[in-house]
Amino acid sequence: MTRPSAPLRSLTAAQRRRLLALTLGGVAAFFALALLAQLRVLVDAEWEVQSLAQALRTRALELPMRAVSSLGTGWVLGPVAAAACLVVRVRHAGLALAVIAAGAGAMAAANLAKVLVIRQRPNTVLWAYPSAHTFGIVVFVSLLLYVLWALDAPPRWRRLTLLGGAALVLAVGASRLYLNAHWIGDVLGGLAGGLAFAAVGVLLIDRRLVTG
Amino acid sequence: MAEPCPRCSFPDVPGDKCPQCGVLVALYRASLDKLRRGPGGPVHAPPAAVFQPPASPSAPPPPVPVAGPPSTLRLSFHGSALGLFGIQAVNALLTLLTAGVFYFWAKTRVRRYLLGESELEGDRFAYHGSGRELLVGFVKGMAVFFIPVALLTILPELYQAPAEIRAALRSLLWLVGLLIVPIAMVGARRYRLSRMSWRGIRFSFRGSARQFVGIFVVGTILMSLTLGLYYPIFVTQRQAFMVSHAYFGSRKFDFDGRGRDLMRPFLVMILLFLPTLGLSWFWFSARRQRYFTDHTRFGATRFRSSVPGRALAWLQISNVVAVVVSLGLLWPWTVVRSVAFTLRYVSLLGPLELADVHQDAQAASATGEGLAGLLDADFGVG
Repeated sequence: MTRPSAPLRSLTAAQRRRLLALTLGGVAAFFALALLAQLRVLVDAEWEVQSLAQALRTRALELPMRAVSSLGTGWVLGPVAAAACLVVRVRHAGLALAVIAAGAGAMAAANLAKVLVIRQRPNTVLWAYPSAHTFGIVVFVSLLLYVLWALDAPPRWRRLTLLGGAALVLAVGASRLYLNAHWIGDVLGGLAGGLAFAAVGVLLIDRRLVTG
Repeated sequence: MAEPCPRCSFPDVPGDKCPQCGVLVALYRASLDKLRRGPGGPVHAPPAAVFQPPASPSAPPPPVPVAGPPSTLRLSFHGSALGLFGIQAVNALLTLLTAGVFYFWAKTRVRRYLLGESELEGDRFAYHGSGRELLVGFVKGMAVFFIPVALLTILPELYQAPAEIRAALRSLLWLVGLLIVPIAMVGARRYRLSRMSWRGIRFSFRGSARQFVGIFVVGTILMSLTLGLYYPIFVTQRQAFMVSHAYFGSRKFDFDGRGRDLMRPFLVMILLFLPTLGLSWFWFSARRQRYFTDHTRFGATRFRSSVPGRALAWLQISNVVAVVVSLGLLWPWTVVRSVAFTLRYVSLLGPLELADVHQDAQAASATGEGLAGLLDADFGVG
């Protein structure tokens, strides 16, 4: 027996245009940052940020920062997204499936994107650009916001999610710098790439489940 | 305020040296800076000093040099066939889209990957070369190599030169080749080592091409005169030249091997070549690799190789079969396993003393690298 689906809010033409602009801007920023990283144009700025982040390190912050950083991994995001989709499935099974597909796609995209720029991290390990943690958390928060909006959740929830999500993205990005795992350019690349990916995901979900 | 260790994250490093991993913080920071700057870039940290001794007697005593325990250090490789396959897929696509121009950047990306996945004492090596350098080197190499070759081959045909002159020009061409190959080999080594670093300290090669041309020309002639029996001595002389003129920062590598030590294994290999259907070559090849590695030193550190002939034979034969059967698709897998194989059997014995090693980078153009590519006189992966 198929579960009845709640009606989903549809994007207006203006909202679609804005999302398209966000996609194009995100993609452009992602590739521009990749090029700048490859050409070592951002070295001075990145070095300054890295030095600052390392100067702030203390014993007390180590464990909390590692915990925050882990929030951007598939090990945390995967189960949390799966649990969220189980809840969403009650209202709209198709949307839950689409969000799961988008999440899996985001993980694959973040790792594939690393092949573009062969860059070493501050700790000399490879695959610096982009920060997959940042990419993942941006996609997760963006899709969560869309789901709440599409299911017409109360505005107060959406505002809280927006604020909490923004804080989470900032915290995960900062933790990557703090833990010496990424340069600031990698984190910004993850942010731009994640936003572009999420915008494309929302446009596709809207077209498939609502409009089409 | 005590700083955290930039390498192992130990939160409060009391002095210059991390009590947890032993790294000198100033050196490591400088290394990170240089790691990212590439050739010729300015540096933030003092470039030459690994450790700055305290100025006043009241200052804390100088830390001990960065020295590993006098045990065995091992190189390790973290690369995967899938990772290199992804890089190659992007390389192939962009090379096609740019009608081949991206080839030089593709080569750089593969080198960056292979070195970036190679580790010693918890730190990865880095490659700083660029595709642009390789492209310029290739163009210069073309000019150096193809203009004389074209003049010596096309002009006699064009002007219907007599047979004697053509024969003389062919000899001249052979002579040009004999001179250009060693120049290309030295140039390629100079370029590649100058673009490699570990902990921010550059490698370099300071051998003179003229000296190597002498070794190469004499060796080639003696090889011909002795029907190849001079090979062990020739190849050892080449190795000695290439190793003993290589530097890590300000300190040179040393090689104390003698060609005659390889003569007996070489003769045994020749005697067994037909009965073993050529497999004795792999046994000799492994023996040569072990000999070359075992006679290489870096200060008090001696290199050691334990590569077995059977494993080397299996690696090389299976690599060829895999590439042929897969029509080249398994090339990344063969490269990754070859590098992992080489590093797996190499170890460093004795303390790795780096305290007196300081940055002493040498300028190098990619012309020799371009020539080496043209003449297939490569000497390394990628």
